[in-house]
Order: sequence, then C-alpha cells, then structure tokens
Amino acid sequence: MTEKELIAKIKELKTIKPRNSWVVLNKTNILGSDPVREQIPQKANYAGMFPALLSLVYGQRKLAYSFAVLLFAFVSLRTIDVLNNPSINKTDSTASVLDSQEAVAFLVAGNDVETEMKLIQEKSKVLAQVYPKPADGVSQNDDSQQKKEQLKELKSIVSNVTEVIQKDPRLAKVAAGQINDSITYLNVIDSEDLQETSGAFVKTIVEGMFDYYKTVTLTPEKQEELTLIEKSYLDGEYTPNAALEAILILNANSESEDLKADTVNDAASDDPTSDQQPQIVQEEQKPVNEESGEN
Amino acid sequence: MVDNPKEQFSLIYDQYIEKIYRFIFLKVSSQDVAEDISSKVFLKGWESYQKQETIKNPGAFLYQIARNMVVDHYREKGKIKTVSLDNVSQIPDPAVDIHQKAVFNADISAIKSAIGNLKDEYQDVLIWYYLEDMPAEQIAELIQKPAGTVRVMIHRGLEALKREMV
Repeated sequence: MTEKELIAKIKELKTIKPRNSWVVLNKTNILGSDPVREQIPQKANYAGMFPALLSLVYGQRKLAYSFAVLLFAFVSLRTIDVLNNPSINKTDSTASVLDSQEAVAFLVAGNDVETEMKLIQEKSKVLAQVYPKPADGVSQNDDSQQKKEQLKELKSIVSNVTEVIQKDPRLAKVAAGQINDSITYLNVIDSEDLQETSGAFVKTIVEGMFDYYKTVTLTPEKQEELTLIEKSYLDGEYTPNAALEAILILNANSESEDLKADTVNDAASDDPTSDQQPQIVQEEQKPVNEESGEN
Repeated sequence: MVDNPKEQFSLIYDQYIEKIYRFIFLKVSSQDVAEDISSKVFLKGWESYQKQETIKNPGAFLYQIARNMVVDHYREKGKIKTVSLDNVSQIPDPAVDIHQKAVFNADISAIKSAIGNLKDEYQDVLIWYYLEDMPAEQIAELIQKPAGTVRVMIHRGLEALKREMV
C-alpha cells in the first residue's frame, strides 16, 4: 500500500460521527438548557419556552422508558412463544430469531426517527422565529457563525432522517406521523441551503409513503384517491409539499376509519345480538347520501 | 460576537463535538464508552470554562482533557489497551443504529484497528494531522514538542501504520 493510499484510508475515518440525537441531548445536559432556545427572549418575547424545554428534556426520557418497556415486552413475548412451541425446529428458530432481530432493529430505527422528528420540529420552530424568511424574499445576509452553526445542525438532522428513510422506506410512515408543523417551519427559515435539504426530505417522505401504501390494503375509494395523488405527483401537478399534504389527509382519514371500524367491531363482539353495527354504518353513510342527493 | 459564556461554550461544543468524539472513539472502540467519555470531556471543559472565562485555544484544551480522560478510563478499568478485530465488531451496525452515519466497511474497520494498535503518541499525531487537518505547528503546541519532532513522529507513525496494515 502506498503512502498516498494509506493517507486516503485515514481520511475515510472522517465518516465516524456521533449520533445527532446524542449530540443535542448531551449539549442540553451539559449546558443546562439549549442555547438555541435562549435566543428567543432576546429576539422576541415568546411565552411558554420553559414548559417546552421541560417537555424536550423529560419527553426524551419518557420516550426512552417507553421504548425500554416495549422492547422488554417484545422480547418476553417472543420467549414465551418459543417456550410454548417446542415443536419449532432449528431452522424455524433461526428464522424467528432473525425476524425478531429485524423487528427490534426496525423498532430501534423507528424510535430514533421519532426522536429526530421531534428535534426537527423543536429546532425548526425556534429558527423560523429567529431567522424568518423576509416577506420580500430578499435574504438578510446574516452570515454570523452562530446562524451557520444552528442551520448546519438542523440540516444535519434533516439529512440524516432523509438518508434513513431512503434506506428503509417503511420509516416514512413514522416520519409522516411525527411531521406536525415541521415542514411549515422549515419553509419559512431564511436559508436556501436548508430549503434544498428540506425539499429532498419531503420528497423522500412522499415517495416512501407511496411505497408504504403499496404494502397495505386500502378501501377501493382510498386506493383510487391515492392513485390520483401519485399520478398528480408524478405528472408534476402536485409539488412534493402538496402531495405530502394530500397523503397526510388520506392517512388521517384512513386511521380514523380504522378506529371507527375497531369501535364497531368491539361493540359487536361485546354484544353478539347487538344491532348497532348497521346503525353506525348508516350514520356514516348518511352525509354521503345527502351530498349525492344535493348533487 | 456572543458575550454570554454559555453561548460561547455552545459554539465551542458545536465546533469540536465531532472531532473530540472521533478522537475518543478511535481509541476506545465502543460507541457507548466514546459517548460517555466525550460527555465528561465537555462537562469538564464547561466547568473549567466557567472558572477561566477565556480559553486561548479551546481545541487544544479539549483534546488535552480527552487524552487524559482516555488514559484515566484505561487506568480505572485496568484494561489493556488493545484494539483487535474482535473490538472492531463492536462498531455499531448502521442498520441497527440509524444515528451512526458512518459506513463502516471492511477497509475502515481495518484502518481503525491498525491505528488502535499504534503507540498513543503516533495515534494522536496521525489523527490530528491527517484526519483533523491540524498543522504540525499546532500539534507541536498541543503536545509541547518542537514542530520538527512532530513531523518526525508523523513520518514514523505513518511507517508504523503501513506495517500494521500489511
């Protein structure tokens, strides 16, 4: 190996980086509070920062506890399952261990995406207030080191989540579930560089969601709606942001319908003689009938 | 310019966290230990910063704490400092830990392992000079040796690394 090749290999070690969530959490722990947040009272008087800070610190801890409990329950269930089924042969056991490992890895990844999405929400909200995009669209040319560092940090988290979803599109669903107002905040921060990263982030979530929906069964109506969204997106009629909005609405509707269906099923199973199910279905259909009548 | 010490240290943290973490990670070969020691380094750094207010060279200051902490780590645990291929397997699997952005392919593991087998002084100068692009003069200041000696150490370190890689 030549000296040049050796030096190039040493430089490859630059890819070693700490976890973003650890970096942020560690900073918060060391400095007592997040300095990004401390700028807010200086720039403007935004109320409620203390509870928000508490929620950030304690929210992370709660998340970690919930995750630990979830992991413990999962491992326990798997163990009971294996003990109760001695007939499982070695190949099956190996396969099930591999499945379990994959499931645990997915849970870990999902948990990390959730944490990072929360960080994006928190940080983009603060930066949108501190460095808002001017109404006339002309950048304020604030090239301070502080702004650069803060934007770099946010960009790094956004890019990381984007990469993770690109590797496993199933995580797009997790990211979409935690998106809240992040995109709105990201879009109003005065940084072209960040806009570009944010654009790629939204595009990845949208495409990941299309992939995700291919793995689930939708009602014919929802499927039709999704196909229309996907077509509009592919034809360029929908921007990634518009497509994401449409998907989130579809997702919310699907989940609320699932919830209603579960309620109906629960009611029916509690009382087999109950005739509530048809009534509820009729109630849900009523507005549709009225609409069609008006039309 | 920021006047608040907390904000000043926050900027120092942002500037050095990756470098210090990487420096420690290459010496301990475990993500958990690297995170733990890095936290202690910055905590100690912050405590000292609050007392001293101004620190001439924050990088040198933090690296010095990091070097001492790594030495303390091995001393306290009574661990023999070896980085074998078994230790390399402790590198977090990026498929499991999604925050680990680095892609640890076989080449990277090999070079990491080889650096870990070098003398401490060679490890330090190679990491600073080639990985962190620190000039020899700055390294000289950091380890309190003449710049010429540092250049010789870099050369010898590289030779030793080449032998490790064979």
